[in-house]
Amino acid sequence: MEIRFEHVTKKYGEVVAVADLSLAVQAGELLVLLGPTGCGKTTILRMLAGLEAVTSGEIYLGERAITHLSPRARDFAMVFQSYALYPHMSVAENLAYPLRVRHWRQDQIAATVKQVAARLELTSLLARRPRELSGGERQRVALGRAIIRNPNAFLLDEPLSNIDAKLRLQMRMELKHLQHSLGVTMLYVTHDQAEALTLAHRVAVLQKGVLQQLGEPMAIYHHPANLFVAGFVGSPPMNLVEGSVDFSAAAFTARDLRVPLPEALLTAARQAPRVTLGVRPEHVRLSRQGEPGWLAGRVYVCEATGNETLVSFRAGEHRLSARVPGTQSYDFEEAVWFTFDPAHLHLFDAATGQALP
Amino acid sequence: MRKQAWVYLLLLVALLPTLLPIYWVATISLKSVVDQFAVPPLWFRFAATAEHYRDIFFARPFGRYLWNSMVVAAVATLLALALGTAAAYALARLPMKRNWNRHLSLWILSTRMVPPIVTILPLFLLVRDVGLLNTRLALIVVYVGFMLPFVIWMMRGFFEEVPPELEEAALMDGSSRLRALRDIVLPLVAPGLAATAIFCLIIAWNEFLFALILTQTDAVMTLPVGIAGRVTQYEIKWGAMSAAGVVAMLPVFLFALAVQRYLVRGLSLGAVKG
Repeated sequence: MEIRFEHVTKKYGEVVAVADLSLAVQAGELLVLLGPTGCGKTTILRMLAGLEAVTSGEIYLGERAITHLSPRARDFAMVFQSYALYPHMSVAENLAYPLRVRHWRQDQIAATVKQVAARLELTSLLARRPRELSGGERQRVALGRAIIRNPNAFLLDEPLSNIDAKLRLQMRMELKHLQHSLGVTMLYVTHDQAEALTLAHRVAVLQKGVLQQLGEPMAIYHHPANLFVAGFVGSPPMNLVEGSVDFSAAAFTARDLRVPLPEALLTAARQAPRVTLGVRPEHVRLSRQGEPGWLAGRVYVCEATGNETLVSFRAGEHRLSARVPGTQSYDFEEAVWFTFDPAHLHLFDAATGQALP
Repeated sequence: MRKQAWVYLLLLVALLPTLLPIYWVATISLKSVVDQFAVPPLWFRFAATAEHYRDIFFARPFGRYLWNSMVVAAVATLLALALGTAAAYALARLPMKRNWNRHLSLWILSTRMVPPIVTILPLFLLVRDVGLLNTRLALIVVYVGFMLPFVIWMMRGFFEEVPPELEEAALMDGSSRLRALRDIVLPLVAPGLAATAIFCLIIAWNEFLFALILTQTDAVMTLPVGIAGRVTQYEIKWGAMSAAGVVAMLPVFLFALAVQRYLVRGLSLGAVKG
């Protein structure tokens, strides 16, 4: 079922945690709430869950306003960052708890627990207590407790942040596949932009309680709506240089830097006196031999990751990064030449941070 | 092995001040009046007699005192636990404006700052006027009043140790607040409940002052007052008092033994994160 936030605001005293959020989550969609710590993403999830009161605004499930309903009446399943497994119950009892509360028959409960345990490869662990499980196993139990029934939606609060990196990639795939096969609506909170891009149908980027951009992962990546999104999404982050547009020369200028701009960006920049130029590291071309129009830089550090190499270099007072094929390698302080791919330049109004156009 | 022997020896020395009086009382209760005053004292070898036990249970209404003590202590403890646990849960979990949780908790604790003897006269008049003098109900009500601050403060601490996410998880799984309390929170604070219960039982079991003032008839008198009654202006019945003392110690001792395993903490370890 569709979930809609309409002008939802949450205040703690004078502090605004979530400001006038309007957002619709479509049925069957996997929507990721992405943002740094303290951006309000968890608060949004908890308001939807019914664990946190809404200061103003309404939340709808389908056509029904659920803003003031108890968590039970909303019927969402949640996976907590800490997993929140019941320590005094075995894995089987943990999985069975949502069904027990719903007064299912014993034999039905046993059969369903068995089914879910098999699906999540927990069968051999059913008699264990949570404290006897590894992080990944606990995570699967928490997930199992959510999927054992048919809730209106799954709410996941940074479910992968407490397990080690290798397992995290595997669980990420499992989650995505699980959501697809169950076809259930899922809201997923994370501060990890890679997790957001890989998992989501759509990503909602948040900062300081304000929704910055809502869109498909590739739209967010290739067309960030403002400076915050541009800087937050992508690793390493987008190169951002503040300067102004020299219309007579049809170029962006900053100290030590002059970049010709295509026609579309020039028209877009008409109103903005100060602008910030953005370009992703993979759209920076780097070479030992300069060509006409290329700019000079000096390598700061070169990091090989295998398939590709990340080069951080200085151009005058600016620090920029480039993503080059793994076959290339540079020395410290080596002189290099670089240019930006003109098709992938971004301009932002330096005063408002909004993308131009 | 040698090291272990040393440990036990040290333990024995450390426990001597606690255990010796108990041993002494127990032996006195079994000695004849002559043996009680033997010099040097008869530590181990004496002719055991049950006369004092016969005395307290058949010649005097000690069975009655024992029963009164049990009823008063048990009912007061149950009531205090029920009321106090609910209050402690609210103070630990429900958000209140302007730090009122703290103010309320401190106010509750402050009721214990008055020395009990200060309240005894007004309490006596109060109990007399409502016609509860010489009833067990009067003692129960007064003891519950004593215990509540302890119960609330101890249980609040235990509740605060339970991660809130566990309850939130139960709420998300579809249980009501009360059901989450019953299924998740209470089992996790069971060790705390046991410890608090023992504490309350001991308070009620040992209480002397209020019992002395509020009850004067054999029908409702509790053990401490009954035992003290063996000190008369003509004689002090050491044997009877010791026998009563042993009888008085036993129930608390047995209860503590029974709940001992709940006192072992650490059940909630591993609940959250890893």
